Amino acid sequence: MLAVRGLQKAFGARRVLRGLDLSVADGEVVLLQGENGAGKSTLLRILATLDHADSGEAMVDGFPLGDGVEVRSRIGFAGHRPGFYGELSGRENLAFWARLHQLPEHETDLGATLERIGLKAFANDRTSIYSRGMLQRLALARASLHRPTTLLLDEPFAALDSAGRELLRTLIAEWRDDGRAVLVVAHGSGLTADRTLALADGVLA
Amino acid sequence: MSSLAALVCKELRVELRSLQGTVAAAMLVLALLLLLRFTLTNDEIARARLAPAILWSVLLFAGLGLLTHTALREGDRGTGEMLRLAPLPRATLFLGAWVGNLLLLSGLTLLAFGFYILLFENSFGSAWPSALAILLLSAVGVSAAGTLTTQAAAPLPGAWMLGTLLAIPLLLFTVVEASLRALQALLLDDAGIATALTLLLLYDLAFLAGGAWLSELAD
Repeated sequence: MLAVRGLQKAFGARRVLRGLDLSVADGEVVLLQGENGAGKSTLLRILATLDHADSGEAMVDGFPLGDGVEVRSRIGFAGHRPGFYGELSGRENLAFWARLHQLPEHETDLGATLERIGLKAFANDRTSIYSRGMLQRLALARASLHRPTTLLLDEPFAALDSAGRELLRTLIAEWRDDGRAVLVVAHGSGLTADRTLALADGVLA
Repeated sequence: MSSLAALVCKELRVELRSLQGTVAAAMLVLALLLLLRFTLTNDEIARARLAPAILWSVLLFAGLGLLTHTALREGDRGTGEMLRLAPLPRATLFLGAWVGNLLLLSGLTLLAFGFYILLFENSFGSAWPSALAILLLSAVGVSAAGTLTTQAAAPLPGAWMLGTLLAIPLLLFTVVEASLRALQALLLDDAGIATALTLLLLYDLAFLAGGAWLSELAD
């Protein structure tokens, strides 16, 4: 569960978030929309502990963002940049992430994960040869690999082909059925969300 | 495998598969040694006991260049941000990068020492293993301070130069000076080597502990 109260963030004189309140319950999918530069990505980056808010508070499963290790173990994040090591294969990149999360090997079936996202045939290829869409699929697999309770997805449909977009809609539905809180920033995705919110002038409409 | 071991394995695997940083650093080592070989005679080197200065001139620039490369690579690809999403204390991320850098720097030190012996007369005589050990011990502090400054500079404009510029004043009057004194004492068979080595060890530990602490503080 995600709870945000009075979140404020400014870049110099430009106030991006002005006392934003938001909650996403377990088993709920919330779609966040807004114009370019409205602060959607900034909000997700703050919730993922990659940026700091100027004021306000946010909790993930009752843990404040300041409790970084606890929060990061509960969050799955897919942002604008895939962030993979081009010298490593898709399987090696996921295995590295699993080790950072100290996931037991017997609980991490990387073959099944790669097959699920349609990359089984490319599992042992270096990610430097992956297309943008393939990297996006891999990023989604990484975001959910450690079974986070809260997923933060920033434009996850970008670069995906029609099959990839359908796969992502299915994955999001499965995560909701698993009782996870999902916050998605997307435009024209065809995603059926429980709630759709619009971010404008630093607050939710 | 622990998270720290995974970080170290990743550092080494990524670098050894691309060889971008290590080959460039090795070429720089060779170029600097050749330059010094053609500007200094054996008499001048022996008379002024220049061996430690030559080795450090080469290792400091090539080594910090290598550490800058590994830090900037994480930023350029967005993998540094991905690492920050891992549920690990920031000190663990620092230590993982430090061990990886230390191993790469140790390899570079072995290579530089080998080139030095080939291109110059072996000024250390039969004490060359001790000289090499002093340089490897110095690599602990250089990699700790270098990892800290190059990672701190990575998001800033001019990071490719800034990390090195920040590291040199930190290292020059601490690790490098202690290492130079130890190597000079080795050349002169001087008893002061024990003091120099103690100082070197203390500087190594100070940079390592300081790097881990500052990493946590920056979160």
